[in-house]
Amino acid sequence: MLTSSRKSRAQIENAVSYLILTVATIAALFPVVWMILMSLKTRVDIFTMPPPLFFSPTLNNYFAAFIEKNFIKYLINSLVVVAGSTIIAVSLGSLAAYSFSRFKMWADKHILFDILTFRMAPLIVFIIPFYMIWTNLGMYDTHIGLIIAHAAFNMPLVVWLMLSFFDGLPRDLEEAAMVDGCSRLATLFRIVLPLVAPGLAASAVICIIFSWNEFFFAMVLTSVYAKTLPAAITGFVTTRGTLWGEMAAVATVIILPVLAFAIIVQKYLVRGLTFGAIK
Amino acid sequence: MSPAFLYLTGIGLIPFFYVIALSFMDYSLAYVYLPRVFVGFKNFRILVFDEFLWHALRITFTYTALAVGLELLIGLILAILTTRNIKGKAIWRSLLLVPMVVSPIVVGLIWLQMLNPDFGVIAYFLHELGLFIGTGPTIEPSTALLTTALMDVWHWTPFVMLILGAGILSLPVEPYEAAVVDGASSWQVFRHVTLPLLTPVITVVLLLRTMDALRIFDEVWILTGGGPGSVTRYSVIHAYRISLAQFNIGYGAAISLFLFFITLVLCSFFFNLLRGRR
Repeated sequence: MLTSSRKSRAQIENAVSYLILTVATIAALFPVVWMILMSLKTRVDIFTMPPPLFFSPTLNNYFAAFIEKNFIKYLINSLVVVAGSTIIAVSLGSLAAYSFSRFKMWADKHILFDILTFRMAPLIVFIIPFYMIWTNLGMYDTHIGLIIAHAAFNMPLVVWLMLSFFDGLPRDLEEAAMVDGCSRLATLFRIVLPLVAPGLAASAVICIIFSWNEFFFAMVLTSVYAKTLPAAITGFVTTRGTLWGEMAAVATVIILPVLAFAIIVQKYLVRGLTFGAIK
Repeated sequence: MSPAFLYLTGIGLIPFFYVIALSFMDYSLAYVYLPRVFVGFKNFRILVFDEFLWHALRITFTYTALAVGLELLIGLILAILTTRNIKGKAIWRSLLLVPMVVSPIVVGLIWLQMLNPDFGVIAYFLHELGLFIGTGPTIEPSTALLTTALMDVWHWTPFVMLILGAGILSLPVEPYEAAVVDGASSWQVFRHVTLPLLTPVITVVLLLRTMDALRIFDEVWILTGGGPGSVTRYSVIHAYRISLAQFNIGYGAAISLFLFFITLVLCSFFFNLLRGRR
């Protein structure tokens, strides 16, 4: 009697869980799927209400955006900025994390705090001076200008994430290598870095995602020449109307690579996004 | 240490001191021929009595409380469900994570399209359900703030779910076994075992989400631009409009510094949490 009522209760609990999960998944996926479908629709299909369930898909929007409107240029800009800023952020950031983890330094606590606040501050506080300095130095609307900004924004995350990886690595290993005649630098490159390779990969992927998605810096610091995809896509929204199909095509190209990356590093996403606070 | 240190000093500290210097000046890019004048605390005096700024802060806090509150609630439920004994755990989790990695600007654009009163799919279904929101959810002053908050909930609930889920999976097993032996119901287990053990993780999520919501810009900028009127003109949008749209750089710098110090307080809590874990 008791067991059967407990069993049916468990069944109800199960059914409710699946129901909630299904509703949540539909809500999470619908806008994204909707946009991908929109990128395959003709102008007429986009404006038809109620939305047609079946339509003949077309790649015209992709052609119009990337070839005719030359968005391929912005795509290349995005790739250049992502590559440059990720290389700078990961290499400098992880070296810094290693020294923070291994050496006791003057005021290191304060420096680490300053680094963290840099990442969490409202971007506007840096965008105003960046804009002023970049225009004065002739770095406004250049790749290198945006690369420097993105790298600075991502480096704190690399420092904190790699700190959690280096802290988790026993020192005995390095000491043994150094007793055997390895220099400090050789130890770092031959022993330590291979062991934290997953951490480096995770930092790199998270830097790539942030830089690829970043809009505020890109909008303010570039105009024509070095514009990235997120900054360029807003150009489809004009006062005379919006080119929704082409916008959706570009949006799809922005989303899909990131989705693939996120699935690859899912295991380390938690650690990366909480700065190593939760493993 | 030193290359990164030099980099962040150059790229972080110099602009930071520059923005502090700017905040003490009367300086407008609209009148570049006029000299920059040192005006002491004038910008900060204006700031204290600026009705628009206090309005912006009020709605930013409302927005943050609404969005982060809902995200924690829904995220916690989903975290519990996806860590229970269900079929296809990994698939549910991967699918639910999708919104989180969508570029903020794209989030804004998707919602802009779906909420369009003439041909947006959400507007259409609301209409079919008999819910008439005037000229549209983003155009009607009474619903604009709620709409932007719900967009934030859609975007960031997966983040909360992901972190809390990882937190739940890392909890010790013994307290649960003890609770089962004592015949506790699922609610009692949740209330007296899971929740207290999960508090540190919830704190991390709460701090990260709050700092992020307080600096909201991209999505709302494209969805409403701060409108209608100034209903969704959140603090960073306000600072942006003052400094880089009206080119009142001096006052804009003062506002952005003020916003920075609000985040600084929250960030110091987060820093102590991080240090405690080292």
